[in-house]
Amino acid sequence: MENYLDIANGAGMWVACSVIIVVVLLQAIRLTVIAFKAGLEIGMSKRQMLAAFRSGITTALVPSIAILLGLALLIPRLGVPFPWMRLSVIGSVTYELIAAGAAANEMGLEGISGQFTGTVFTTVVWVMSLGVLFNLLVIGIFTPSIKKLKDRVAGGDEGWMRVMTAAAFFGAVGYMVAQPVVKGGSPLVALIGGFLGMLILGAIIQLGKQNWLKEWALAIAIIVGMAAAGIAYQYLGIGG
Amino acid sequence: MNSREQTFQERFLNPVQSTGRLTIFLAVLCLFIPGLYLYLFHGLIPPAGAVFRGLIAVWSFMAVMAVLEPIVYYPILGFGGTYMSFLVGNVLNLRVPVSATAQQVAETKEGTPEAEIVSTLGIAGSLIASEFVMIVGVLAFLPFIGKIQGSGMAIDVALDQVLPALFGALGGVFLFRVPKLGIVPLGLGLAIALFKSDLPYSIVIPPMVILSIIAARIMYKKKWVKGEGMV
Repeated sequence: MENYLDIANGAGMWVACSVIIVVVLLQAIRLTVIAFKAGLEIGMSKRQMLAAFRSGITTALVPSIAILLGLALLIPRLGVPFPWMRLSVIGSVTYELIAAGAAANEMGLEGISGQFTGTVFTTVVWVMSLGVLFNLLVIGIFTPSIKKLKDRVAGGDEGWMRVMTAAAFFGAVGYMVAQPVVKGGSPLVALIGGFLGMLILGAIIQLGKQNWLKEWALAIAIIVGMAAAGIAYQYLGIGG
Repeated sequence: MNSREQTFQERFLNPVQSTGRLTIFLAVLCLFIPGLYLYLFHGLIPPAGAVFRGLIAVWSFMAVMAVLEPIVYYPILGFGGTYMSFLVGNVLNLRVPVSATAQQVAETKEGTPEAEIVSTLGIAGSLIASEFVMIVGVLAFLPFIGKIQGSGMAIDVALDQVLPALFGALGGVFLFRVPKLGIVPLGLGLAIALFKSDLPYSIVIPPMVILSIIAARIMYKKKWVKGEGMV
C-alpha cells in the first residue's frame, strides 16, 4: 500500500496548499497600496508610512520563527505542505493540534499517533480546514458592522467577552487535559513534562522579565513534554 | 462630513472593504482545495460521520471565538488590519503587538484615519514577513523529513505524545493566566475522564464549553474574575 506520507508530501499537495497563500499575499499587497495612496491624499508623509510598514516587518520576524517551531511538531504526522498552509493561514499551533486530535479521535485513534493512514489523514485535513470556516465567514461578512455588533454581543462588555473566550477555550480542552491523567504511561509523562516545562518558562518570563520568550514558550513546553515521554520510555521503560 | 473624512471614506474604507471581502471569500473557497485534491487525485474519501463529528467538537469552541475575538481586537487592529489579521491568524501573539508598535513608531492617535492607515501598513508588513519566514523555513526543513521518522522507538513514542504535551503546557498557561476559570472545566473534565476516558470529543466538548461559560459568567458577576485574557 502507498504510504500516505508520500501523498502528503507530494507535488500535488504542495500546489493544492499554495493557492490560499497566494490569496493572502495578494490581499496584503493590495491593502498596502490602498493604504499608502490614501495616506498621501490625507496628507501623511511617506516617511511616517514607511516607518510603520518596516516596523511591522521587524516586529513579526522573530515570532514568525517561533511559529516554525510549531510547524515542526505537525510535520511528522501530516507531511510538510498541509501544516505549512494551516499555519500560514488562520493558524495557531494550539488550534491545529486540537483539531487534528479531534479528527483522529473520531477515527478511533488515541491522539495523533503513528497509526495514521490515508483515510485518517484526509479526515484530519477536512476537519482542520473547515474548522475555521466560521472565523472566515464572520470576518468576511461582519467586519464593516463590527462596531454595531459589539453592543449586540455580550452587551458590549469587553471584560466579559475576554473571559468568555477563555472559558470557551478551556471548556474545550478540559477533558483532553484530564484524559492522560487517567490513562497514565507515556501520555501522563508527556502531560507532566509539558506542564512543568510551561511553569518553568512562565516563571522565567515573569520573574526574569524575559518577554521575548513568550512567543516560544508553548512550543518549547510541548517539546519538553514529548522529550520527557521519549526519555522515560528509553531509560525507565515507562509507556510505549 | 468634511472633505478629508470623505476622501478617507472613498479612498480607504470603501476599497479596503471590497478587497477584504473578496479575498476572504476566495480564501473560504481555497479551504476546500487540499481535501478535494486528496479525493480527486488519490481517491481518499473521509468517512462523512467522522468529519461531521470532528467538526462539531471543533466548532463548539471555535464559533464562540470566531465572533468574540474580532470584536475585542478591532479597536487595536483597525478596519484593514482586521481583514488581514484574522485571515493569517496568530492574532493575539503577533498582529496585536505589531499594530501597537506601528502606531507607536508613527506616533498616531488611536481612532484617527492616520492610525487606521498606519495599522494597515504595519500589519501588511508583518504578514509579508511571516509568509516569507514560513516559506524559507519550510524549504530549510525539507531535507530533514523522513529522517525524523523511523529513527528509533523513543522518538516515535515522543512524537505520539505531542497532544498530551500540549495539554500539559496549556495546564501551565491556565495556572498562570486564569487559574479560577480553569477550576470548573478541569474538575469536570477529570470527573468525566475518571468515569470514562475514551469518549468521542464530539459528545464531551459541546456541553463542557457551555458549562465552562456558565461557570465563568457566575464568577464574573461575583467579580471573582475580571477581564483577563488567555493564551
